[in-house]
Amino acid sequence: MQNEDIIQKVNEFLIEEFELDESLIKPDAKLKDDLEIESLDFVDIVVIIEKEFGFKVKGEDMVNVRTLQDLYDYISLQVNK
Amino acid sequence: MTPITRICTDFQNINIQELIPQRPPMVMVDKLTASDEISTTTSFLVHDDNIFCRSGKIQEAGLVENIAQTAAARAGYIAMKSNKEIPVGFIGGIKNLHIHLLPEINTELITTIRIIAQVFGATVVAGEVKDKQDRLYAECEMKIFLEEESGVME
Repeated sequence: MQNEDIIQKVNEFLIEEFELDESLIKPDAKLKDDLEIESLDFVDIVVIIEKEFGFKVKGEDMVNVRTLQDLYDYISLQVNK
Repeated sequence: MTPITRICTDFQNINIQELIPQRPPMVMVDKLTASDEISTTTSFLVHDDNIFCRSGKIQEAGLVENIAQTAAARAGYIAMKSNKEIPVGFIGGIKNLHIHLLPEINTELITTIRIIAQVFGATVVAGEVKDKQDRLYAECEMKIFLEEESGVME
């Protein structure tokens, strides 16, 4: 899967699921501080990732995901394994 | 995932209050009627003295509680089958809640929850409340955490 496809899918579900303003969606945006995604919201993110990209997310993997770019990179790494 | 057999005769003898932590007047489920690997169903007859009843109808909070207690009954049933203590669960979040109708007194509600995912100790379920005529009263997604994570929602 191309990185552009991953970025588009992730951005779409963040905007739809969390009603985020599109202008906030930048690669260096911090999930907690900039996008105000709370720890409980990560449950929803993981559910969507698993459904959309077809792999199982491990809790420890998400510890290092702090920005949107981290999230894109993590998904890219998993789907292109 | 813990296998659960759908045996109706098994459910008939279960006192549902042994499966859930709630006690009257907060009990919003009467019977466990089905449970399998991915879903659980309860029934509940609406009485006029119900704590959530106003003007002859169960209010929105009562329908949400009914869905939550159906999920609790599932956890309790699995715990009972495993000879474990009945877990206490907490609602971590509710989304896509739609209340279509408020059920009137003497309506028998048939409530089903289906496991969507289990992530980071949370169980995400889709719940819907119908009646015997298949009228849909309420539906939502709920994130549930168990006090002592034991995987009993699986």
